[in-house]
Amino acid sequence: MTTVLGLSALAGILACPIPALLARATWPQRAPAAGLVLWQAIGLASGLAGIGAGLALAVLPLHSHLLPGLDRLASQTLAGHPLAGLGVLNVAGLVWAFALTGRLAGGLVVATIRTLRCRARQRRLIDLVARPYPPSRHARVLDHPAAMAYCLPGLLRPRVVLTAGTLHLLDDQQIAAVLAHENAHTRARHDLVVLPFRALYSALPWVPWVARAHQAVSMLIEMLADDRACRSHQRRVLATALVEVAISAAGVAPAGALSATQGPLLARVRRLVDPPAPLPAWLPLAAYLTAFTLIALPTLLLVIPLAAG
Amino acid sequence: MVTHENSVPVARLGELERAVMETLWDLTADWDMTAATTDQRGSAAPRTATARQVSDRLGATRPLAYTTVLTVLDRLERKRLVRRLRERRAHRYGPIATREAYAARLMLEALGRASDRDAALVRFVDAVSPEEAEVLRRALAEGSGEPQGGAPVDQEGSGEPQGGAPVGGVPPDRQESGP
Repeated sequence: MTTVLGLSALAGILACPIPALLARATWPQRAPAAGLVLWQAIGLASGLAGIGAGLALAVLPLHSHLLPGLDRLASQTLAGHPLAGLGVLNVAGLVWAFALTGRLAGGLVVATIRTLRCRARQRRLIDLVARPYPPSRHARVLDHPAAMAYCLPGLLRPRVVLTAGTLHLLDDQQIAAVLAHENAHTRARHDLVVLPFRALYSALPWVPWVARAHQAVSMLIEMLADDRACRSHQRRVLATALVEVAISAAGVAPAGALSATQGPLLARVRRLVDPPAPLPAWLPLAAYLTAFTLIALPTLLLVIPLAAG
Repeated sequence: MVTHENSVPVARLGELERAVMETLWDLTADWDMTAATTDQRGSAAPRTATARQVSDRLGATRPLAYTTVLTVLDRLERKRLVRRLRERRAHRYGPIATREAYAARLMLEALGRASDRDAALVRFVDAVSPEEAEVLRRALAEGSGEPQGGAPVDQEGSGEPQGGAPVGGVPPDRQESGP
């Protein structure tokens, strides 16, 4: 029983107050990497806790501990009477655990396949239509008057796409800063950080913290790439490029895609032009420790048999 | 990964596809103009070219075997980028869509809503509304009060203009060795 309660409590805390607090905090903007790790830990831990709570509830009548309980459930399933000894509540827990696992795993698989397929199709078109940009190996120039830059990450052949409009709009330094930003994305595979959150979002869009996490993570990888670009380029140059491209792109974007972006973009520009004081060293450290604890807690609750039955 | 049909390396094949497609677009663009001026007699023909014409036009810049051009056209047809029409004994090839149409589609996908649903691409920035643009401009101007860090006026001296920054982390150079 303790396991069920503990895991449920953890899932509850992870589903409500913690993401809300983290989404509102401003320190992740000063240490994007630590913020990202914390978000990942929250995602993983709440999944573990949510599924674990269901399983622990399901096997409660069979054994007071999860693992032996699961073992017994498995053997009685093999023997032909899977639900023997389970009450309505226990079956509900089992259904919940399976449904959640299926939804999460399915969402991840679907999102991955869809992303890879879409990316492959786009890359094929890019390679066909866009011309190489000699200064940067993976860069391509798309002949379109509106300014835009994006990257198609990939293990073997990443592509950084600039439009002709971008080359026209920005000066050489700004273009170099944009390329450095995009190359940072493709090199560090930031897309792999976002993918699970995107999958989570499409699997459980009605869970409030999921949308928040997706938004926060998307912004933090941009800040990470901004920081990387600013190691070799001036912050102001990159900030100007950001604003110029965003304004110019407004000419082509469908109206629906416009709003709700101001927050993250404004935050990016602000921290570029007016860099905040560096964080005290303990804060990122505390974030990493918290992340570790968040993952360790449900794992321990699941594996270690608790004394109180 | 090195050998393929006709033993043309895959990396090169991609490049050839681009070259053939370019040529086809150029040729059919020419045709369109002549068709417009000399009255519309050959109504089906104008937006296509024969493989021989493609090969001849390509030959000016890069000599390619005629059969190679045929192979590439075949691949392009299978990828639904090119359509083939039978005309007497010769096949005529035409692009399914113009270069501009593809560019426009890519842009829409890059900026549009569809891309919000998957993680296929990572945008530099999202587009903003005019009001947001004003806020952003102000934020940019606000920071200009105190020049931070290096010399802001010195445009040439610092930073590499190429952005090809030193490579670390995931080595993209494994590209040629294949998966």
